[in-house]
Formats: sequence, structure tokens, C-alpha cells
Amino acid sequence: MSTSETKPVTTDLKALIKLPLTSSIISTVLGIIILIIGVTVFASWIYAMVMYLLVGLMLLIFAIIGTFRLSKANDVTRAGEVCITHGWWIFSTGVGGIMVYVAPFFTKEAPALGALAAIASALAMVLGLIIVIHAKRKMGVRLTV
Amino acid sequence: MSSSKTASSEEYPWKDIRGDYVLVPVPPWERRTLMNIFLVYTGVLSCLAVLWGGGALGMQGNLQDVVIATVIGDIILTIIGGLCAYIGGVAHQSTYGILRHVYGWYGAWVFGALLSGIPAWGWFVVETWLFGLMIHDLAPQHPLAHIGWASLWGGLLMTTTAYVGYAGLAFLSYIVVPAFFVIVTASFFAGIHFGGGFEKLWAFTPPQPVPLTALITQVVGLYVCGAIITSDISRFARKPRDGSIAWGVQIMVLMTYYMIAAAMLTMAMGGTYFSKAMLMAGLGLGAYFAAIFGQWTTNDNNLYSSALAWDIFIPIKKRLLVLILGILGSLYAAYVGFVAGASLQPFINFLMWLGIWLPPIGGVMIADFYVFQKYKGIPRYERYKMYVGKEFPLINWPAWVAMIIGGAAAQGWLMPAAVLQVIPHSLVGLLMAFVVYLILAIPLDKAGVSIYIGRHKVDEYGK
Repeated sequence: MSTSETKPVTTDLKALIKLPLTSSIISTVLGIIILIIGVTVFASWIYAMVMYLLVGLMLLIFAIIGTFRLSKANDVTRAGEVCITHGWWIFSTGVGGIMVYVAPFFTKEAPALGALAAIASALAMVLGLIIVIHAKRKMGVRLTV
Repeated sequence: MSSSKTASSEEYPWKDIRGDYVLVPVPPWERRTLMNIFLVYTGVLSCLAVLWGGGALGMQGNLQDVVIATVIGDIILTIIGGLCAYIGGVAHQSTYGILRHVYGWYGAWVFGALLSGIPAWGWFVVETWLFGLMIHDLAPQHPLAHIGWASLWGGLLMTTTAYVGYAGLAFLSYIVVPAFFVIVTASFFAGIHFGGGFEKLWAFTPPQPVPLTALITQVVGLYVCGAIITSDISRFARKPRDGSIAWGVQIMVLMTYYMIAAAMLTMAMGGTYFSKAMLMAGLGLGAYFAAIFGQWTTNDNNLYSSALAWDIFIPIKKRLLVLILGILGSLYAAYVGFVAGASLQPFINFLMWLGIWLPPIGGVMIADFYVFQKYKGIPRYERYKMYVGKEFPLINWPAWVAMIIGGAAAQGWLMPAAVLQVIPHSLVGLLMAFVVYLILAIPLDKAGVSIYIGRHKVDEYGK
């Protein structure tokens, strides 16, 4: 990797990572939204709070590290690999979030917040998929790196 | 990535005729990141079997004992699996390819079949049947959820990713692992709530408590065979240590978590009722997801490992072998599901008995790579190196003897029962084989007595 680190970041690469970088930043925001929902339900339903915090934190960590690593990538292959790894993680966390937040047990105290968290998870799932498909089609990396 | 695919025949002289690098080392351009290896290992772990394993602990010990047993057991598994994974990371060959170096050419056939060929296929059948049972529990009225039909379509589903090969296993793990973690965590909390809350856990005392050492034995026994075949995955790692790190992290973090959480759920609900907890919480979709994908990510690995082992000496393409084994396994599981009163228990007992003989195979492998090869003065990164024209022994007889003695010790035939009550059977077998191999191999080598019988020269196809 040391050789690739010395390469200058090209304009092409900057353009290429724009979409996954934006998607990753939006996923970070979605993670923060779910975390805030978790804090909001703290007093009313502890089990729901734990699940909101868990998914929010996972999404936040996967997206924020992905954003950081992507902005540091100096070649297309490296950027593509970061996209694949973090894209799938964001996607899968989103899938988990949707399944949990449609369950009545976790949303009985605040159905509207549950619906909001489910929508945020669905968006994260779509964004994760966008990152993966973009990396596969535009950066030419495999679906698993 | 693909740019390095242009490696010349001097750099990579092998021809992969069987597919998925069964007989030859994994080339540099096919090697994967640490994260990839981690996710594939975690995909294997993320199944309902580990949750049932944790649940079984919860019936036999209080929370403190369960936590201690899980942590100690997982440390042992981390060490064994980490050592084996490193060998795969250096050699870039499957466990059965590595066995050629350790046990000789024929040894790889015999011990490969014993280590994975038979047991991994057997567990594929058992888990496919369990999949059928689980789907039937979730939707008892649906015709496709009949145990027989569900076993059949479930088994065939699991065969698809094993058919694709390593990329298929990795693909599924990428999609499933974080979601499975979230859903299973949700089921733990729901189960604890419905079972009476956290207060009940602290006060829980098992009806028939077992000693701490017995709990540790169970934790180690649950996954020690998986720990020994870690090279099947770590051979794809870019750096030799990646496999060991990935293995260690998933065992110490995720397995510890799954086991303790499952035990807690059992203490609260009186049984390992994940599906029940999920359905009570309204997590119906999650229950299906966990049941289908949890079994799938594990069972495709069973089939994959079994095919790798058989392909060492059955001269057909690995994909065809996966298909044959997958269809046979699915039909067997479906047959058991369709025939009223049929049970897989005798078969499971046989697999459990066989499981005791497997750790000694790993014990000899660890002894040979880390100690005997060092004694021979071979640098670490040169050990088990494959090159066209390399001569393998047909039989490394001290390795065979050490393995048999190790297995007999683990069965309790050579050890006082008191020892086996303190040290896990699997660990006894592994350590005994490790020691016996070194006691035989090093002095014989020093005395100038060859430990090898016969020679086989490997060609560019790895045959």
C-alpha cells in the first residue's frame, strides 16, 4: 500500500468517489438520527432504546469510518474495496434495522419514532446498495473484496 | 487487483483444473482483505447452532460460571484456530493441501476425509434437517414448510453459494452478518423481557449444575473442529496473520457475545426459544431471516469444506462435487423429514464420536509447522511452500501414530477418567498428538531414521 499512498489523488478519482462519499455521509447522518431516537425513548422503553442505540451506533461507525477511508483513498482499486466493505455493512445494518423497527414490541411506546427509524434504516439500506453497485460498475471491483 | 492477474507463469506456475484452488495455492490476485476473512468466519459462526450451544450452557450453570467458561473456552479456541489459520495464511493452501505436507500424500486423503469429508457433509445433512424443523415451527400450516420439503429446498439453497465457491460464501456473509447480529440481539432482549426481566437472571440457579471444567469442555467442543479447518478460509488472506486476527476477533468478541446472550435468554425463558421470543415480539420477518440466513451462511461452509476434502482424491471439478454432495445431503435430510418417526440421532451420535478424533489431526499439524519445521531450520515463510516438482512423502508415519494415540487418549482409552473431567477431551487429544509427534519425529530425525515412506512428485495441476 505504501506505493499507492504516494500517488497524487486524480480529478478522475475525486469524481468517481463523489457518489459513494455523499452516500456515506448521508448514512452517517441517518445513524445520528437513529441514535437521537434512542436517546429520546430512554425513559419510556429501555429495550427499544438499546436497539435504537445499537443500530444507530453500528450505522454511524460503518459510515463514518467508510467516509474517512474513502476520502483517504489514493487509487481506484483501494477506493472500490472500501466502498464494497462499508457499502455492504451499511446495507446489512439497514436490513436489520428495518426488521427490528417494524416489530410492535420495540415501537409500542412511540410508534411514530419507530416508523421514522424504520425509514432511516430503509434509506441506509438503499444507500449501501448504491455504494456497492457504484463500486462494482464504475470502479471495477468484485462484489466481495 | 485484476492488474496483478498478469503474473507470469514463473511467478504462478499452477493450473487450477478443479476450481477454487483445491489442489494449488491461492494466487496473489485472488487474495482478500482482513475484513473479508473476518466476515466469512463470522458468517460461519452466525448460526443458530452457536445460540443453542450457549443456551445449553444456560441450563447448566449460573451466569458467573457461564461467563467464565465462555471466556476461557473462547481463549482456547482462539489459540488453536489462530495457530491453524496462520499456517493457511503462509501456505495459501486448504487444510487438506496442508495435510499433504504433514501426513504425506495418502495421509491427506485419509485424514482429510476424517477431518472434513465425512463430518462436514454429515453436519450439512443434520443442519439442513434442523432448518426444515425450524421452518416448520415458524409456519406449520404452509405446505412448503413441511419438514421434508423445507429440508429439500433449504439444502438446495445452501448448495448454491457453496457451488459458486469462496466468492459465494463471502458474498452471503457480507449481506447477512450485521443484520443477523441486530436481529439476534433484538430476540435476546425480547426473550429476557418476556421471561421475567434481568432480575430473574441474577437469581438464576440451574436445577442440575455442572462443574466449570465441564462447561469449558462444552464451549471448546462446540467449535474446535471449525478451529482446525480455519486454513480453508485463511488461505485467501493477503497477509499471513490476517486469518489469525480475523479468527481471534470473531471468537473473542462475537462468539463470547452470542454464547452469553443465548445463555441469558435460556435462563430467562427456561429454554433456547429464539424463534418464540421473536414471534412474541412481532419480529416475524426477523425470525425467518435468522432461520434461513443463519443456517445458510453456516451450512454452505460445511458443504464447501467437505467438497474441498473429497476433491483431494476424487478427480472431478469441485463445483460438480459440491452439487453431488449438496443434492445427496438435501435428499437425505428430506427423507428423514418425510418419514414419520425417523430420527437423525444415531447419525448425530456418530458425528459426535468422530468429532473426538479430529483435534489430534490439528495437534500434529501445529507441532509439525511450528516446532518440527523450525527444528529442521526451515524459515517460517518457506514452510509448506509448494512448487512444481516438489516431492511429498506418501506417508509420514510418526504423524499417523501420534494422531491415533491422541484420538485414543481423547476417547478415554489411555487416560484416567479424572484427567478428562478436568481437561476437555478435545484438548487432551490435541495436546497428546502434539507431544507424541514431537517425541517421535525429532529423535528419529536426529538418529538419521527417515520418518517418511515413499515419494510423490507434484505436477503443475497440484496432483
